[in-house]
Amino acid sequence: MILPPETNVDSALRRAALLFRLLAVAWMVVMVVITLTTDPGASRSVVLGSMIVAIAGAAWSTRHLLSDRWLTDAFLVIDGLVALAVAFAPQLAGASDGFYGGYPMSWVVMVAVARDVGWGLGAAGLFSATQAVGLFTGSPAAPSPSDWISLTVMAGVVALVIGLGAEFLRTAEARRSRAEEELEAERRRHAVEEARLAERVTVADDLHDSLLQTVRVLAQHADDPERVRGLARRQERDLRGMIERMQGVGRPGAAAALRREAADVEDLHGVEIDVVASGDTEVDQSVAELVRAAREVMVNAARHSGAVRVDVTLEASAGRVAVVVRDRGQGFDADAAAGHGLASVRDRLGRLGGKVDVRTEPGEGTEVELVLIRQQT
Amino acid sequence: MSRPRIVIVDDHAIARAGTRALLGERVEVVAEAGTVSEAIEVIRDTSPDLVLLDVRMPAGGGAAVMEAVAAHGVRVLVVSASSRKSDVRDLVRAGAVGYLTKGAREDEFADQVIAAAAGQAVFSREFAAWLGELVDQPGSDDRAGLTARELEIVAHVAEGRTNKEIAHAAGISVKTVEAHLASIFPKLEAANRREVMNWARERGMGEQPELTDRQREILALIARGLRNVEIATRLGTTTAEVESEVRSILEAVRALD
Repeated sequence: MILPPETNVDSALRRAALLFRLLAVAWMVVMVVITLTTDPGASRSVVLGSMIVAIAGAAWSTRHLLSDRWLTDAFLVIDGLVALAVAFAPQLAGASDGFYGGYPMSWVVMVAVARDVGWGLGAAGLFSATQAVGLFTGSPAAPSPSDWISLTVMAGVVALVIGLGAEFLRTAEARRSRAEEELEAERRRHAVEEARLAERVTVADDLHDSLLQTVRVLAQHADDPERVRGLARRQERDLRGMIERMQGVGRPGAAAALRREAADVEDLHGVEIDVVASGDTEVDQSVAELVRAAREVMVNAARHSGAVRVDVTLEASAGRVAVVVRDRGQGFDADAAAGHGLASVRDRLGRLGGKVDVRTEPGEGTEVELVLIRQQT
Repeated sequence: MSRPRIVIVDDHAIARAGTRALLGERVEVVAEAGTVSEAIEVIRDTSPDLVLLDVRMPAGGGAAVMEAVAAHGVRVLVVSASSRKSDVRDLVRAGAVGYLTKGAREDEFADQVIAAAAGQAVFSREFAAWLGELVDQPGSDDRAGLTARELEIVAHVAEGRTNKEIAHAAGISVKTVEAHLASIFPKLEAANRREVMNWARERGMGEQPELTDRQREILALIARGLRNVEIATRLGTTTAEVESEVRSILEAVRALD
């Protein structure tokens, strides 16, 4: 059986054991037919009975092997009882020769695959013992002493080869995946190192272009408090952006996109916008549209609410993305809200299958909730 | 009512001055401390109503202060610019009554400090959002280089399963589970299963805080920037009820081990 390299060793071994079991049972059927036609001394009911037991056992184990559960000890014991009974059947039937085909041996293989060499040898020993019984009782179905010895040796060799082979394949798989991961980790470390270096250069440039210039301008305008306040606010945002970049939170995502829009609206309208994200999500087309709609709502709040601060929240979870824009400004009469630019926001969200909730009263501030419902992936 | 007595712990003098200015006359700042050892000393000397504690400081940081004073029943409110969730979570677990973000929402800062001094749990929007995330979406992108299969096995370990049970559940042999664990241990720098379990739980695998729907709703509203009184109105309940729920949320986060 040739396997692609990424195949899991355990499932491959299980399939190999299954193949062996099916061949074994086919072989047994051939032997049974030969026995029934050429051996009038064999009890037909025992011969047929043992064949039926073997076929039922093979069907049951096939089902088990094809499911994704691993072979349990209980499975191996039951499978073993069937195999040993089948191995003993020719003596019971008074046949002149064995007709169990490969069935008992396929159990030895099963044990060696599921457990290890030691248990496989034990299974081989039990199989050999069923034949040794015939040797002592003088059953014609039992092998001759020399055949018994070669049968025992063969069963032992099968257990040894299959058990050690499985062990080897498993170790090799573990070692290979470890090596691959180490290589991958090494590559990542390298990439991180390079990114860090590039980041340091960027930070130095940012400090030079932004902070140093601002401090210079601040000194020149020390007598103009309004100007100084504005510069300080802009500088604070610059620094925050730098810090976030350094902390790696400025990743591309809905939260970052929302923060960019918020910073822009802050600049244009001189209102503080505080963005908090609970969860994050990739910016696909509809999320991009949501962010644009949120910008419109932020602009409305900045222009009409009279509040000094606007709180923006991104709520992203598996089935839902929402942006909530809150202010503690003057609010408005929601029934007459057409003039507040909400109509176009509703249109946008409506096209995306989302919705807009507005909570406001004159004097009570405003909360606008933009919601996208997403199909669960 | 007398003014609450506050100690400010921060290694930056400018930050301490800023905090003092924000608090104004409504509280009494009985002492400031700029180092861990200084902080432990003044807190013991003054037994304040509330300590405002910075997370990152030389020589052990906020955690060291917390450890030294927690046994004395001193209330500690974490005030930090750090958004490292593990730091914050460790401090909350060690007994902090809440977490505020440095420099944000300065108009509400004094109110929240006074509320915390009076025994309330106070959460910044960021902290509430993060707790909401923790409840909502367990797991983390910090995988420590584990493969998907290894993560799956770590999750089983976190649930307290044996190798045999894991093998059964994952459809692989015990030997393969052992082989995976052999590569998981060094990646997590874990010496035993217990440490693997801890690593997983810190990342939200296994246990998550058990919150009621109402508590989740409250967290979401705090994250949106609502005050407790506004939350009470929204949910049609009393402010005292909201405060008590917020304390329960804090307890649930602390109960994680």
